[in-house]
Amino acid sequence: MAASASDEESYARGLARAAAGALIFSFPLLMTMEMWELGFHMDRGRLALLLAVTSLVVFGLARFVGFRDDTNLTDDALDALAALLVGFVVSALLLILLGLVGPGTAIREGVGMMAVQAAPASMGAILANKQLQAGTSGKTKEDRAGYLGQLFLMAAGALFLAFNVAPTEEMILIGFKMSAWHTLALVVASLIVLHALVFTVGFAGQEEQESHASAFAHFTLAGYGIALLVSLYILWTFGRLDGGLSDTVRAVAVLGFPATLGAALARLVV
Amino acid sequence: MVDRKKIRPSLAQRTPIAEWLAASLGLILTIGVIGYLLAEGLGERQGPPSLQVANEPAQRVEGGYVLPLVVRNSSFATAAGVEIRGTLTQNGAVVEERRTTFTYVPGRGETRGGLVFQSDPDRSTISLVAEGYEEP
Repeated sequence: MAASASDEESYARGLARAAAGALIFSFPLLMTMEMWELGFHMDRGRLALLLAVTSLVVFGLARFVGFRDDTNLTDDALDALAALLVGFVVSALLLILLGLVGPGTAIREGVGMMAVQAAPASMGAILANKQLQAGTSGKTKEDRAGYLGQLFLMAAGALFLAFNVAPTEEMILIGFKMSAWHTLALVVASLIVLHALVFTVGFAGQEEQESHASAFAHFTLAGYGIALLVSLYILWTFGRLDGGLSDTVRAVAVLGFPATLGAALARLVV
Repeated sequence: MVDRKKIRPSLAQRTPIAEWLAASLGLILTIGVIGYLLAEGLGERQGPPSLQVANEPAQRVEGGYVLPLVVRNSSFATAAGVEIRGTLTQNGAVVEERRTTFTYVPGRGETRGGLVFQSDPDRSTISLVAEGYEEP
């Protein structure tokens, strides 16, 4: 016996919600020139890895956020796969609609452009479903996420925000404009912002962290570390680590700032 | 997305058909795209962009002629800032020379553009060369 017709209908509505989310989350990147170019000149292996990482992140988000309240692994996997489908379809349709992909586009080019856009779109799909969902009550999954789950959510937030700005030329330019002192100040600012947000936004499980010092170590330092690792990964993925060590450190610190904001707001965004 | 507070029915019972469809399509697409990218990545031969310039029939426009160009890249490496020079010659003498730059010619792809001439390109010998590019 299959599920009832009303279940089918409500699932379709869920997909539409996911599509809306994919649209909202991927739009800024769809209209960024560098993203189209990355689609065809980015290293194919790194692009494949990015998609694999995205799939895992989407699955993780399905696990902690989810389209519904179940904690069943199979359900989460189905939700994640549906979000990926929505991500692919929405990016492909928009690329065609905006005239960026057409009959004259080579397969390599078209698939690459869709693949690189699908990453933020499917994250948007899985997130929006929860954000736009009406009347979810009771304990949310993120309350049950535990410390590692919290770190994962921070990483997902960092990944999303870093992804949004990393493709642009400005990232590199800002690195060139900044002196070592600017970089140091940015690192301090990132840490302060992260700590302030962790405390005011209130990550789940924070109540148990009595002192500032302990929360600083548990969430702020850990979160900043994650944000830096995520920036490094994104920069590597987009082939932006060609410069020397000094350029790399600066670029990581610059991208680390939006990544930190993403990590800090993970709880609001997610 | 669906309320299931009562006794948990089996996975097959509580999962809408649409969900199985969406999930399997998602799986096929994800694995397909990753597989395609990996196959392409592994099959990729290293090497510089290989650019061929071809023209289509010239068209009369106000104040001159447009010679439509197609630049193809048969290599896997993308070329940026591709400089194209087109020369019209009659009996060995240069009649006109025009240049243009293509922002990108994707690997295994093509880009279109054109050169604008004063005289009819069809009356001359057309020679087109890709002069250079930069790495993206």
